[in-house]
Amino acid sequence: MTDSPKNVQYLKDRVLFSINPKIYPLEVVHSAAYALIDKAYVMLDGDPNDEIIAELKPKNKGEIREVVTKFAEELLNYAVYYNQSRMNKGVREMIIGRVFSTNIQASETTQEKDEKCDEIADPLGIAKPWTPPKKKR
Amino acid sequence: MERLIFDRKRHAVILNLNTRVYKMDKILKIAQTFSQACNVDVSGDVDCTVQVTLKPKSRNMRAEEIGYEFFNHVLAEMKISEDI
Repeated sequence: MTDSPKNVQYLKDRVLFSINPKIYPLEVVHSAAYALIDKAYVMLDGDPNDEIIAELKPKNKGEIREVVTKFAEELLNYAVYYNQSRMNKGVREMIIGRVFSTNIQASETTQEKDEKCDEIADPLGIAKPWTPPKKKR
Repeated sequence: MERLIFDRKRHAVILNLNTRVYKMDKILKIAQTFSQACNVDVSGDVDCTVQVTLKPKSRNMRAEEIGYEFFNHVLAEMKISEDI
């Protein structure tokens, strides 16, 4: 193996990835590994506060390189997504909160309107039916 | 410590799952689903490493492959329960 990074260790039919959890938290590692489960068997180990070890065993023996590249890519993708969603968390919660509060107010106004409709006075007796009652034969 | 040990004599596979990486309830859930096809035994230290022994009920099934699939299933369960 020539240019493999220090955190990647190639074995006979599998590869060991050493991951720094301060860069890639455990949730990110889970997501990246999950993206690979159709191509490889993934086994995780280590300490989520110190070092996470991911053992990847490709389902097809020839795909070891491809699996390593894809795992590294997915780690990056999910790390960016994780950080972005963490930054947007407050705004997201605010928007959802606003949506729900608006809905509650809207339903209250509809109820109030219905109640008002029921309370309309009928001083001239217009609301009463005008058709004469049928005569008995 | 080996994460997967294949016991050829018993036609069984022994998995060592780190409970700091995989949650215990997820391990048990998958163990229950695998119990239809295998004899499952869960033991070990809940705070560190749990040992799951899978012995396929049928000789036609490859124990080693089932062991690897067990890891993937627990991983999928972990991922589903998380936000991202």
